[in-house]
Amino acid sequence: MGGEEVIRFDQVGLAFGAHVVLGEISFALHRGETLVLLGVTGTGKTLILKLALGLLRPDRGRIQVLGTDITDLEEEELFPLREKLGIVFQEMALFDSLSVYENVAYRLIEESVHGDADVSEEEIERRVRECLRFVGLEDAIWKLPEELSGGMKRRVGLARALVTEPPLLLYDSATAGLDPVTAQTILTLIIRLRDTREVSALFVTHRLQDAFTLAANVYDESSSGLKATLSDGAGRETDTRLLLLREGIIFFDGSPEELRAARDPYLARYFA
Amino acid sequence: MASPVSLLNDLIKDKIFAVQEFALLGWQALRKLLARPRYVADTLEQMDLIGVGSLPIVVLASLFIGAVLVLQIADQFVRFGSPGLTGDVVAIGLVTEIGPVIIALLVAGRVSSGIASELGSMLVSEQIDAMRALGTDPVKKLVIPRLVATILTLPLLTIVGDFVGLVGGYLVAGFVVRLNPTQFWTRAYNAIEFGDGVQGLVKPFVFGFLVALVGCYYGLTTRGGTQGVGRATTQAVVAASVLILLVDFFVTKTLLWVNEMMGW
Repeated sequence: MGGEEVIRFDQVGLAFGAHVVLGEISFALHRGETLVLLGVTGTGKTLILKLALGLLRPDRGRIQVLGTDITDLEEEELFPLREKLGIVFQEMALFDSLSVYENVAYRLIEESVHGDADVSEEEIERRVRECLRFVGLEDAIWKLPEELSGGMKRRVGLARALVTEPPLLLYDSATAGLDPVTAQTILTLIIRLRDTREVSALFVTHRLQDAFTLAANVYDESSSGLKATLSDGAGRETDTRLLLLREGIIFFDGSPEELRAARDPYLARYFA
Repeated sequence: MASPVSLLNDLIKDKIFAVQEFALLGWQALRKLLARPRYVADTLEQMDLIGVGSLPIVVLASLFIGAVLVLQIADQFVRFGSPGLTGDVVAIGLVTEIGPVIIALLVAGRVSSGIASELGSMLVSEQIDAMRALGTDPVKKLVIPRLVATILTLPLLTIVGDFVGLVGGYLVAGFVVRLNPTQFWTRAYNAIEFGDGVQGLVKPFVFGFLVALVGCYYGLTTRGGTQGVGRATTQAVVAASVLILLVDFFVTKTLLWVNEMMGW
């Protein structure tokens, strides 16, 4: 895979007390690529996202995000960089005292009222409505998070991550705990985002089927749904790579086809 | 099985670490106090919640504190044949000590717990992480508005509480103990000197800082889900109350020394 690196982890290690969570993690995510981080619960997948955002600091190793070495940056120095990232949290992390509109508009309001950006209220509402329309929730704009279902909250979280049109999106178990239909809706939105806006993505999940869906499908504008890459006459690439974590180290790094072909007993068990 | 010595060692380390984190949070808040962005609307909202919201309990409690002080003190002074001194003692006690401390304790019960539970809930539901990920500094957005609001409103609440306490004393002096109410009020008013006023107004600023910072500290260090939020809330009230009483001694000692030096 060529192209510019948007995230690089170089021999990153993290421990909580005596418990080593991440041993020695090295990988790179390139522009336009989707990297799926797989692994059973507790292998440190979410921690990798938090490290990439600078919410946690590694014990050793270096982390580069969008060309900036963030390893030793202070919290204040990270804020301008975080504005270029979008994240969808596993637990949604919507601000429960704010409406859907205020949640999605949060970053725009912050930049407009407390920052240097000069964005009018009309412009903020237009962009919020556009993002909510993208995730199919424009009607819920004035609702509070407590009035939404789990799937709707996840879609609001996605809209919040999209509102500033970041070039890099981080998804933390975006389909966890959702019914199959809602999970498929979320995946369709993520693939649509990848194919129409060409954002790079780090996608954390423990669900193997999510990884294969991302790798094997493209967004079809005409049907507003997914289409298998094999049936796509244009031969579009999904630029999706899989990375499997096991006990704090990268156990597998490759394409879905390579994972399918692997004969390792652990991979076979995971695949089963 | 860990030995008692290693357990004690861990406990001491934890406590020292907590003090260090608490001091660091306080330092960060002071350092960023005037830095942009400034969340004025959030601060005003907190002033409403903390100041106006605490007013009813402060008024009610102060009224009865003043009243019961007159009951007790007048009883003693009548025995010694000097009931007229009741106003002096009640006023000085209320303005310099009882008012600031009791009102700070009342506000700690309401505000430290409220802040700890609110921030703790936000922490365990990843809202603080989301805030940081969205480019907002939680110290500026959450800690400083609560700190400024409490520091500004606690002295105002104390002034109101002192006045209402004296009114409570005045009413009991006139209607229950049958002292001369005008004499009570005049003596109370004249007894308070400039140095007493300084003591009564400096203390709430210090206590306001402690009440808000303790709430923020316990909220932002919550561990263990919703059960942890409950624990943080209780710990915040206990720590804030104990700190108010401990710090009160040192502030009083310092202010008495300042009074003496300045001749107030």
